[in-house]
Amino acid sequence: MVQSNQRQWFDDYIAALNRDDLEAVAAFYAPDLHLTDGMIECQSAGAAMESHRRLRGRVMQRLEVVSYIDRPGRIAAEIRKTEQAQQDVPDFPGAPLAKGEQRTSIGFVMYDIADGCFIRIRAAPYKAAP
Amino acid sequence: MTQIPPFASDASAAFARYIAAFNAGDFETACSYYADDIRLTIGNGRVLCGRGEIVRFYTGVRQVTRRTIKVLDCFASNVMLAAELESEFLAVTDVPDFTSGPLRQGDRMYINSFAFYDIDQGRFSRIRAAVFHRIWKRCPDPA
Repeated sequence: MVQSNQRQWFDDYIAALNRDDLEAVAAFYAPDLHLTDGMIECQSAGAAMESHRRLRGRVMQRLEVVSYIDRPGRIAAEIRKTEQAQQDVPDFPGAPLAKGEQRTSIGFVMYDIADGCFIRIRAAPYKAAP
Repeated sequence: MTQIPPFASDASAAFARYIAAFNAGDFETACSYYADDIRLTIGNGRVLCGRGEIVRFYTGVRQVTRRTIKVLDCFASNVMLAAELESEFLAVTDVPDFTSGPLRQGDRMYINSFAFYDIDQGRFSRIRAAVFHRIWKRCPDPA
């Protein structure tokens, strides 16, 4: 990752998530990544990737960067996430999803970066009506 | 009322002054950082519109708690500031209807939140906060 173009690097990460390219996503995670969003908590890149894999093919996910601001080593982003179940997903984090059901949420997310990888990702749910 | 837009130069320093004013209950100074059409969304999703509603809300909060906001991090562009904040609320009386849940006198609550501040012509036009983490430290029952 190049510090001078942190935004492009971040956009590449979001694009990889949106096309479900887990191999590309994994390259953004440090081995000791700590990821938490209130619903899930992962203490390693392996755990985060397992969390992605568990929903792959069952939930279509679309992330949109609504707001973005950064400094070297940290990104703050407002992310709108739309998830649509391709089948019944009884183990969906938070509450089960029925086939066809769609859920949209907004999170304020802090990303910490070291040595070209995310080392910590923390998401807080934004509760106001869109 | 400050005449020079507070965020015209060093946003981090200006933000520190804004938070200091807020902590001191100096709402006149705090409000000088707001655009006329300021909208503030607090962590539970409630939207406060305009300086008057913000001052009324936080005056009420100050009547029942001592609140101290610590800036853990902040960084800004010309149009936006992002901050990670830690707020401590110490209940100075019982507050059964406190916005984050009931508090008893002596209880403390810590909120770790992420906030976005939109900046328009050097002033905040929109503030939005999301709660990442809440910790209650209950005052022990008297023996």
